[in-house]
Amino acid sequence: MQRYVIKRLLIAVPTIIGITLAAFILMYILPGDPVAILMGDVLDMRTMEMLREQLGLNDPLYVQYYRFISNALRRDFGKSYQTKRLVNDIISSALAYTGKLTLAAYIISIVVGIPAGVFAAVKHNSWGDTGTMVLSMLGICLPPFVVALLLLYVFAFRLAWFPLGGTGSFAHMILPAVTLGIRPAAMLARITRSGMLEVLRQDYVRTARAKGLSQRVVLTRHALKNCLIPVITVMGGQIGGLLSGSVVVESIFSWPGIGKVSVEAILARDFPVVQAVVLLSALVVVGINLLVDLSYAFVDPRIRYE
Amino acid sequence: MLRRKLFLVVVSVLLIGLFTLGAQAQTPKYGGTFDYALDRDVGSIDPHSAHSVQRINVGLMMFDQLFTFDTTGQVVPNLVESYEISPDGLVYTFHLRKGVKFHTGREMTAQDVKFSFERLSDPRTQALGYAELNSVLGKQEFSNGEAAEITGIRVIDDYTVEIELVAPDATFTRKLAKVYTSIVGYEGIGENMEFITPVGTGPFKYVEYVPNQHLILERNPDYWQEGLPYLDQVVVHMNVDPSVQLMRYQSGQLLYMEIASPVQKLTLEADPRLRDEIVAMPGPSVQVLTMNANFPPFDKKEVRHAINWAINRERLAYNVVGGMGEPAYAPFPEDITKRIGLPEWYGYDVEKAKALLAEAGYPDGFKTELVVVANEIQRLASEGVQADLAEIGIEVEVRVVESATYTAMMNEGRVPFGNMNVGSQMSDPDEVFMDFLHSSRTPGLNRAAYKNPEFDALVEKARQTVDDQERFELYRQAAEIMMEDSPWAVLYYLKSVAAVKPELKGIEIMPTRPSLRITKAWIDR
Repeated sequence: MQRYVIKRLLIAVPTIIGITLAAFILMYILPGDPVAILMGDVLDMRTMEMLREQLGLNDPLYVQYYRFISNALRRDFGKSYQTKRLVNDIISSALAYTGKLTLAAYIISIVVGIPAGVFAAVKHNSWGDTGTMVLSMLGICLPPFVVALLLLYVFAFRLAWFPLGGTGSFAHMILPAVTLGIRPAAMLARITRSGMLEVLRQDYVRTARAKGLSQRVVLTRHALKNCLIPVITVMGGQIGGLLSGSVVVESIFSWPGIGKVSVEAILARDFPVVQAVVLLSALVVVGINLLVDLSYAFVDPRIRYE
Repeated sequence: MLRRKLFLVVVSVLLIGLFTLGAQAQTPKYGGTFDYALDRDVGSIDPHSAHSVQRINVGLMMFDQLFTFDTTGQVVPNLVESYEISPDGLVYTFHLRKGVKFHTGREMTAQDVKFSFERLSDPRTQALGYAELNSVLGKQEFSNGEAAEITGIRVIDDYTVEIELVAPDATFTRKLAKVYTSIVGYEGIGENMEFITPVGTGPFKYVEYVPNQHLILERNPDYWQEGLPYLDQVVVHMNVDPSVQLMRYQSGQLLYMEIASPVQKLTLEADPRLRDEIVAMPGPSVQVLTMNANFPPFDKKEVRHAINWAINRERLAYNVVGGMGEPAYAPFPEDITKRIGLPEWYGYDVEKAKALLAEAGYPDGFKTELVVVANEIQRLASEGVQADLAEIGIEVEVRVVESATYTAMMNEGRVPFGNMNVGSQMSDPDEVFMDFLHSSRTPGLNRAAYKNPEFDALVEKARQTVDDQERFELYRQAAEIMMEDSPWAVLYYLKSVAAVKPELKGIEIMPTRPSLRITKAWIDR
């Protein structure tokens, strides 16, 4: 187990370096000069030259990459071209907000999705099953911006139960978290349902029933636990998706998270911010994949890592 | 045509009256909060780097400049009480207002003017307004690190400062009205000229800025304009999606909202209760098509003229862009065109356009691509142009590109046919002709790669002509040459459109950047 973890961590190093290098090169290949964007529609050549020199953009590419990597190892990502704020401050504040929202959405998706899937499987081929599946299909198909605007219009504008975007209280978080949680909840419901249907036909479930165990115990202890592997895989993948997929939701709800920060940084060719976001995303995705793989062993004792 | 113009003039006068006189007719009430929603973050609240209209408007709330703009785009003294210009136009003597206090309570003096202007010109500041004082004697030497101070800025006494220029600069006082040249207190600036906190002399004091969330300002009780401002507090909300701004406005949470898209305007117009709350004032820009003569078929003057005659500007401004524009027949933003008094060039004449195309050797038209930045109004306008040009046989493919790519392509002069917004910050013809059409600005903002030595000479001469009547005559001549050469097809003046609740009084919308002033704003509740 330990050796496996160490091996995986070692593989992660070249993966992450590769990702940052690719992102670095990509940003420079893309048309668009960060200094020209900074200046807007007032272009003064002398000002541009001064800014390029000050920002270190006149150095050769390999010098810039080396500077980025060596500073990154000291957890120093420099300052944003656009705002002159420390990238560390920008990212940590945005990440805290995205983290909160992602966690809330994640909880919603689990609390709604898994029970819905179990319910649909147990009531297989009933109206309850069909209804749940139709709703889950809608949840998957509806684009987040439509859901966001609908929720805002109904619950914040018409009914005025929630604020019209922004941050500050628990109430501010509910609508964006629901918007963000709907799609993963729908996906979890469908996967749980198909897994459960499969497991419910197994002999050991029939045995458990024959022993006279209650429906609740049969479902949770014998059936659900055995269909969790695909569910966990999906849940792991969704964290990455939630972190990056929240751009639209963050924009509509004025939520100061990482999605909005990264899109603005890319559009403005704000290299220091983009680089830090890329590195961070790479770390998160690699880390979560490792955690997902390790969690299989806990759910299914037959899985061993040598 | 004439009747429509007359109507517009009357409406404008009425509107200006509504916003200025209207406020005086009633006794203003003190108190209240002004909520200002932006669709993005201001990013920085350093006035010396205030390049976007959002940063500039916010900067104007906290900082003062030596001069300022009024609602017609004219420049008027602000922190300066009076001033003299030497007969050769090189030396400006500014007499500063006495008793102006920074938000720290310290009195502003001539030393602060010198400090602010040197900070702006110091490369360590990385200020986007770095070039504003290029015409000041000793600025280059100071910026290059060859001198410890800008020798052309001389403090005579606490309330007198003298500024000497290298050459006459007709727009010098206008430059001193930009938020870029704000007077900042040294208390808010770090050792390496970095911006730490806003210390200005403006109507509102800084309280808190949480990036990507909000900026809070409070009333400056020691403001030098007695009795002002009326509002207690300003809250600038960042990153508020336009659709959410609309809902906040409809529900009364916002008393003022800037309208940037025809769809928003139509939504408000569809609501009979909100229809009358829409205000459209002359804006700081004009929309044009750039035609680069380095690429055929735009190398033929007849083709450029044909395109100019083929465009139905009234339909474009009133219908296609949903009334966000006003038909334009001259190459400046609306207020400048009116100030210098320009004639109208190129009406709508399809037959004439067809004949010109045939004369150029394209009797059946041609195919071309029109490059447009990803922006709703510009995309709509380009589709309008596409329809107009189809009438004379020119098949236009509209290519929408993301803003950074658009800027790069256009600035490199790689675009034969493009759609461009020509903006003026200080409402002066110099900015438009010098920055967007002078041959030295290619590559750069001269995106049509226009080159005419006669035009260049007139524009250079105008820059050094301090007398406005003489100067405007030079621009009228330059405009005549340029419109004949037609590197552009002028489309429409973009309006500054906003929705204002009736209880919000006294706000000023200006045809410059800054575009909004709330010093005299008050809430009637």
